[in-house]
Amino acid sequence: MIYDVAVIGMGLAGMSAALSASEMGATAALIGSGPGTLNLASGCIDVMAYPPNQDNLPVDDPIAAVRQVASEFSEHPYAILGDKAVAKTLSWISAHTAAGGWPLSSDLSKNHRVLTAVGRFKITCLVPESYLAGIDLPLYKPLLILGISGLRDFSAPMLAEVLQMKGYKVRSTVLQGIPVGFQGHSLGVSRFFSESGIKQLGLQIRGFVRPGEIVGIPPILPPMPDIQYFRELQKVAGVEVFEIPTLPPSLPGIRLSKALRARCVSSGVELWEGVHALSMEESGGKIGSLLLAAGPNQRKLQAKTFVMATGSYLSGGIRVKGDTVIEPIFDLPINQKERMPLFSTSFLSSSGHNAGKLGVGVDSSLRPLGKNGRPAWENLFAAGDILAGHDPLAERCGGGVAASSGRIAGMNAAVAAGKGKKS
Amino acid sequence: MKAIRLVPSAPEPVADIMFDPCVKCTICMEACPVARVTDSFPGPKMAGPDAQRFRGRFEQSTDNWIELCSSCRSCQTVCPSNVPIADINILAKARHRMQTGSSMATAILSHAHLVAKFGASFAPIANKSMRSKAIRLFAEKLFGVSAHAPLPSFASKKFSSEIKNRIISNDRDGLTVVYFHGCYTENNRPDLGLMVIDLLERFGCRVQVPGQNCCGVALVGVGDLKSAYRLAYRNYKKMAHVIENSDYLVFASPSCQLALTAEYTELLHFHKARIFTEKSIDLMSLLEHQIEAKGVQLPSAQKPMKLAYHTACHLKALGIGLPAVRVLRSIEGIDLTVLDAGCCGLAGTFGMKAVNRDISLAIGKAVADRIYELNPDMVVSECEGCRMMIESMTGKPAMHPAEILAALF
Repeated sequence: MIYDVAVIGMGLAGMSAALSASEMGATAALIGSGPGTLNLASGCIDVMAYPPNQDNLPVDDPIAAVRQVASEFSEHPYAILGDKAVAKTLSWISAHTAAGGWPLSSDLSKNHRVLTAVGRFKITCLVPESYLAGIDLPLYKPLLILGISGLRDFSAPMLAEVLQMKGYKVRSTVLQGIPVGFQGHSLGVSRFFSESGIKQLGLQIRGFVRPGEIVGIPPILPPMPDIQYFRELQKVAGVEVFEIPTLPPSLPGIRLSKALRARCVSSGVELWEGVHALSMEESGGKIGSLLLAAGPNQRKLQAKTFVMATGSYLSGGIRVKGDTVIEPIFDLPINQKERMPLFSTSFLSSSGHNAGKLGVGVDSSLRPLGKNGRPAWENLFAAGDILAGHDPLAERCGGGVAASSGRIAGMNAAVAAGKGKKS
Repeated sequence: MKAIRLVPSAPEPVADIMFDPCVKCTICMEACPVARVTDSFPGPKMAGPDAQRFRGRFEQSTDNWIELCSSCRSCQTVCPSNVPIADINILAKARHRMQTGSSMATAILSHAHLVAKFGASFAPIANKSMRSKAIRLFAEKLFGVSAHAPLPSFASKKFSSEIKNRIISNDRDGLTVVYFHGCYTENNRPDLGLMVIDLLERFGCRVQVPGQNCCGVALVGVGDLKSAYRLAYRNYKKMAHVIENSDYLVFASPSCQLALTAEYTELLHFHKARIFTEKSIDLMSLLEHQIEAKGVQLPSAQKPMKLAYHTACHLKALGIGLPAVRVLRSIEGIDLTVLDAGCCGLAGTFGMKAVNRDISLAIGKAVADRIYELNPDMVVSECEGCRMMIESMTGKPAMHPAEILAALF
């Protein structure tokens, strides 16, 4: 079979591309070696918190920040996408996650401060419903932080102490007797949380809580994308409860990833799991097929158009070979020289490192550029972390770039394959 | 007198797989079906790359929980860093086995090809005994083979004798393919093998079925690499010369395909098996290729059918996409939903052991629940183990995609 669109990468960008291509009526294959870094992330979708070349204060309005970045930095993916497409994508992706059982807040007008397990605040835009009660916490609101004895990813007393130093009215309690599994991580707890366990937890919360308090818990509810578990807990507890993101394995990230995967499967996207894309083969001036490997087994996959959503260093979309950075599948240029020095002198520099901005450059249709500055292939599009010019870690813009570029690349690929109309 | 054929002895299992690329990302921990339902197993990351740090290359693994790895390979399938997690665990099992030996149930079930040979020779008695509750309970007490787990019934005539006098078509234009049928087709469902040959011939393939042995996937799964090596060697001896002169080596069972094309070279270090890897193709991909190449229009289904497709873990491990879904969806009258509900829980012989029965059922619950929710006419899956498990859990008929195709003609 020759697919209309073959998407490489199963993260946020890849799933967005496959979903939007199939919405345009294209047959889509979603190729990957696993669920991507979405599983490891906080389950929020960052849009823009710290625009480049600004002082170290987060911005309030993410879409206005996207507009500003788009006008000032022509190399930034947002300059290609535009703020309207980003805003539209965010509503689109929250509609999809909600249909997959895991609703995100759809308020795009404002960045939110999400409390993390070490007492810092993460600045992000779309947050899962299970975080809502705890976002933008005002100092006057009394808090109860609940820990679980044996859960190693989360210390309620430490978090309470950090918050106290920041001036919050907060106390903590550690619950005993909840099974935490073999290794004491949140995934282990969540798996053995039955429905009756949720009721019991709710009743315990109801017993501990004082009037006026809201309750923060580590993410320990089941790993399925099903918000009903959380709603049930809130109902039984009779107070506002919120989840606090922890280290990987990250339950909210896993739920978001599963919700989108379910949407892909139900829209008819075919999953090619367990494969690593090795290289491509040309056919008539275009990319004709990909060579895929699963262990020693190799297989070719043919498609009319391709979307690379292969991620950055961690996912292997770009690799470091000696002192050069390469793109391993299509051998696209990375423009490393223009970005020297690659590293700032301070490791935790708020402006990030130039190495974080490396990736492939693209034209206005998201087609990666070749060595001569023109699109390398007319039927190849790029999306997500692989795009040059943005630094997801320093700017907190990874989710917005991934979802928006994924959706647009998927649409453009579908159009190039002769399906639907161009946006 | 028959000459005694010497089988070279298998290399000793050495835990020498590189685990350094593991960045501890925890993606495999979420994907492991066993860790999902029991906290007796620490999960693939800790059992594999983490524990490997503390095992010398020739050391025995002292952790009994390694026996709870079902060898479904889900961890290896999802690893973004290309760490052969399942291979590490199987080698650890092999070394653990050298120390503790196998339980009776493990020994019997992993040698199912021998048991089945015997069972098929006495099919009527064997089938009757397997249906008898008392005998199954007795077998559970005596051997540890679960009294409730699904076991396949034996056919009255083996596949190899069914096709003994078969005339190989003389179509010189077609592809020449070698069909590896596996033990299940040989002893339990020869009719399925006949359907496969019929479909291949219908779509322009000359099918040869050389003598063959069990693929050994069950032996690899329990860490009996020496016995598996013997089977690999025999399969090579019996089939290599035929495969050399053929276009493809075709499989209808993903687990057999995985054993011959990946486990022989990667785990058993039987490097001659590269010829299997190079020539292999799964049945549905080959049929799809032939249907497209010949421009055949598949007839529509006789009556509208609602199908649910279950993706076998070993099919995912092959990295071939979902060829059966593509072919079946192209048939008019077939409404097919992909379940995508994870592992069925049987994992070959894992779920047939009485000690693993509860874990197996708990794993399969998600698949069963999704099937109840969809209420399809039939469930479709390439893997014979998955089909047995799904039938026994839900009572829904479970078919190989070839059976659905064959019914069209």
